[in-house]
Amino acid sequence: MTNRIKILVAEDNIVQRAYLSKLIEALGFDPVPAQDGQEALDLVRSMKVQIVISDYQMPKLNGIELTQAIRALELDHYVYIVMITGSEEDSVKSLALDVGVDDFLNKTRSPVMLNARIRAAIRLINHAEELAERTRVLKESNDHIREDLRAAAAAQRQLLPDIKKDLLGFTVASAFVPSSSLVANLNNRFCGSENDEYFTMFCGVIDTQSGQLDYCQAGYPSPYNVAPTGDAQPVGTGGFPVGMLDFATYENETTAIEKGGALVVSGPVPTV
Amino acid sequence: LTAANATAFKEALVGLIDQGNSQLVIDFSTVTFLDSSGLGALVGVLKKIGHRGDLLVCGLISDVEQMFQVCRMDRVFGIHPNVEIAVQTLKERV
Repeated sequence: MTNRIKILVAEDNIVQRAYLSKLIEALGFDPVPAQDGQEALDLVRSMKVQIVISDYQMPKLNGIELTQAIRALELDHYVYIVMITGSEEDSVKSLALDVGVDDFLNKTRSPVMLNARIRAAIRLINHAEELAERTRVLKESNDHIREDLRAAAAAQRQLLPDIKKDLLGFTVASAFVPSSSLVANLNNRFCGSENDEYFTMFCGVIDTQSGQLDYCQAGYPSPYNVAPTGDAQPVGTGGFPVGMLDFATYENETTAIEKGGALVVSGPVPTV
Repeated sequence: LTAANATAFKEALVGLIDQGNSQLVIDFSTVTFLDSSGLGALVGVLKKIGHRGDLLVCGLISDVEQMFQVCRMDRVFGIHPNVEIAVQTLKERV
């Protein structure tokens, strides 16, 4: 019973209220009766009512005022509002739509039409819930991407050599840790995901004066150290990818790039 | 073993593990190509087994073995020349 959709019936006439509630119950929903607009608003605040069927003329708050008050609430779900109309002029109906009424039901309260209105309401509610769920997933993904970008930015800052922090009035981010520490930090950051995702990298710092390359290889294919003579030797013997194994360890290694030589890096992912 | 079949590969092996099989030998002798997705799936299976069992691989051709070495997977998986030796190794461990 508690999982059924709650439909609030705001109607001051006790006979009409009981009749509508019986119809709603017979259609398989959970009727929530309210004898005036204020009680209806209090009930919408206190429980998850998804559909409101409201009379136009009611004590305390009429149908228009009730709709305005519901739309002003910050609810985590959409409330579909159907207003019962009689001989009201078009201007009243126009105002009702403007303030947030979704549909109208004739005073005759035909069970067939009531059922049709409720089914239409449920379709819209389902769409709204799907949209809310998709928005939630997108927000989660967006937060995840932002977190990854922050980690990547932190990694880049760690690669910077320790230089003077104030330069022509700008504050320069600078930090330096050995490449292996950087890779280990990233491995700690990315390990533990539920899926099989990981990444590979080869990172290092070349001293342009001495030609010394301090590096750490993490699953990325070996680059080639190309001498001025054209001889090429692979650099590194391998290393654990990042984010794959929490027990992975990383070593810092060193090699020399000859003056006039080159370090050639290729391959976006380790493939054979 | 690539992104095209890595998920099916992992699901099949996880299915075997869920059925109670914890001593696995994977014969790679007909695998000519292993990419990062395939490797990820293989490590996923290893994590699924955890400390409850063993996962050995065998029959690696040169290029696939090189992939294992670049990613240091030769230190994670028991690698054997063929199925017979791998199975014999498992039997000795049990």
